Amino acid sequence: MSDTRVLKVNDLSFSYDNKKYLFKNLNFDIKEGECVAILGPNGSGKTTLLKVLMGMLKGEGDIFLFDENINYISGRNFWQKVSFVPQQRNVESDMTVYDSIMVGRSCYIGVFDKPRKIDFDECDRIINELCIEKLKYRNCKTLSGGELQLVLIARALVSNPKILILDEPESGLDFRNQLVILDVIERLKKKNIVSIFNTHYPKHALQKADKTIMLGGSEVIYGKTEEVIVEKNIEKIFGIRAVINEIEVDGEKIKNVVPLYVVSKN
Amino acid sequence: MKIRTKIFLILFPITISIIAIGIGRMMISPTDILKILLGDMSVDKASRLVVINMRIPRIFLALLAGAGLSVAGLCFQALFSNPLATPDTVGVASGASFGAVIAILFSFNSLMTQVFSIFVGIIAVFVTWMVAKSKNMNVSFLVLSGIMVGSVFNALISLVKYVADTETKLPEITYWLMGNLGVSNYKNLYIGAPIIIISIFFVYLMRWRLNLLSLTEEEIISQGINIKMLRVSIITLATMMTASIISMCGQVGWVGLIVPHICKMKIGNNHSKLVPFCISIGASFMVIVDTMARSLIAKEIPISIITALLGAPFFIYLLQDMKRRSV
Repeated sequence: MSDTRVLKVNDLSFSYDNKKYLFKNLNFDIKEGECVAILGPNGSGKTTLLKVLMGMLKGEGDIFLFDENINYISGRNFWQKVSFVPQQRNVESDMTVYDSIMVGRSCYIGVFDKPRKIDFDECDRIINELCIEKLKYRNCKTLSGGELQLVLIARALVSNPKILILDEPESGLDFRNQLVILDVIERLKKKNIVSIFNTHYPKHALQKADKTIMLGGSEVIYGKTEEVIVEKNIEKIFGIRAVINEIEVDGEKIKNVVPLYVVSKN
Repeated sequence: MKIRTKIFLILFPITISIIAIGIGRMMISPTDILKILLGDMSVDKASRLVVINMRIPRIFLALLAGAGLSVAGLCFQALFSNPLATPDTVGVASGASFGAVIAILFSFNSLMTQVFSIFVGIIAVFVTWMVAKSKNMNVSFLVLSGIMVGSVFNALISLVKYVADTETKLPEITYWLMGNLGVSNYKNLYIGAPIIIISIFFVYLMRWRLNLLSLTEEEIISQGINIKMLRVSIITLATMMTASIISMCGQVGWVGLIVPHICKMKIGNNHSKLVPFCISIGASFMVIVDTMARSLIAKEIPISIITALLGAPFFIYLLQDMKRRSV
């Protein structure tokens, strides 16, 4: 992990109706290779925050990508550095896996151009990296949820982004596939790619993320993951009593969150 | 795409056309046709006149109309992410027809007919667009508003027919609406062909981009694509070719549905391949259908009757297939 600042957010606030703010005066920095989790109950604005960070929704305050205000970066330039992985259940594609991944190269392919050799090479490389050669010629419609999520991640990574933004990447997936996806996210750190993902599972944030943003009501808690995901904050944001325990496996300490009971209606 | 496929896509419509030139009330052998095309004067004059003045412009128009309607259908299907979308779904066909019918009513020349047709066609799409426009463009909204706009223009066409002179204009309009490639002559072609060819050419250049249209709004934006520009340019190009074809041949339905689907069944959903296939297969399909229209029986059959007889069962087949897949 180096010290290069990739994303800087200054006093970011957002509301849909100018009255009730989903989040207010949010400030944070993200450095190269960091993994950031966004946590919060349903409707707390997790997806909205992602959209604001990507400039799809406009909030108050400033967002800087490599010290450049995102309002002044051209779309093409922005999306060469940032990639988005939508929720797998919202995606319907009738293309083959290979064609679908090629779509991720769009920001490098001109309006009147077709994919060139470098685009094909990049596709092959990413397919190799994520070990999805077997899926290459399958139609996306025939894929399982886990497979489709991997293909969507491949599509996002094929443009060699600096930031990967994932919308609930592991929701709706089974035990094994959740792990597969989280491992892929973890491996991005080694390649100095920032990953920002929102999740319903505090446990996943605790195990994978360096930093965590907790959203709930107008409350925002931000900081290092182990400082943010503590019993007190979980009770405040989710309204549940939970305990965080630690188990040791092969000399490695692994944290887990066990929810106990509902404290208040949230 | 493999070289073999490319050669097939080019040779297939050419072969079909050469055979079709020979078929008709006056049968001409392929060798004679080749001789005439190469400028050999030894073939008898009657055959030469028929081939050069009647058959060639007609086949040329059929090639253009088939390719254009198929590509336009493909574009609209991609734009609305709806396999059943055709130029009719967005009101373009009815709008363009209304423009042309007005031109016929006032006995305008072919240039003005083209202009009117394209103009009203674009207005029709624009109205459809405005009605359907909402924060996040909903596909079913668009199709519904297209049907509304289409029915308004169809009502206006009926109104024109109602006031038209029953002796001269009404039969002309009615017959024209049924679709007919018999109007083809070089003068009409000089005006219409460039519009169709240029529109097809640009869609051909942008063919890879058509793949992006099937994605959700968020997905397209996150590819760094100016979605509005892409949609507007594809809609404009598809409308221009549809309107120009309609102003020359009348309402030839179903081609924009049948051809793209046959191509999709064969080669899948990658538009880089689909566009060239649609151009080649669409052009050949139209030449075959038009040849049937003018030579099956002694009197010429309006082409839309044949395309509808082929298209409606195909549509039912598609629906059944979709039902089967969704179960």
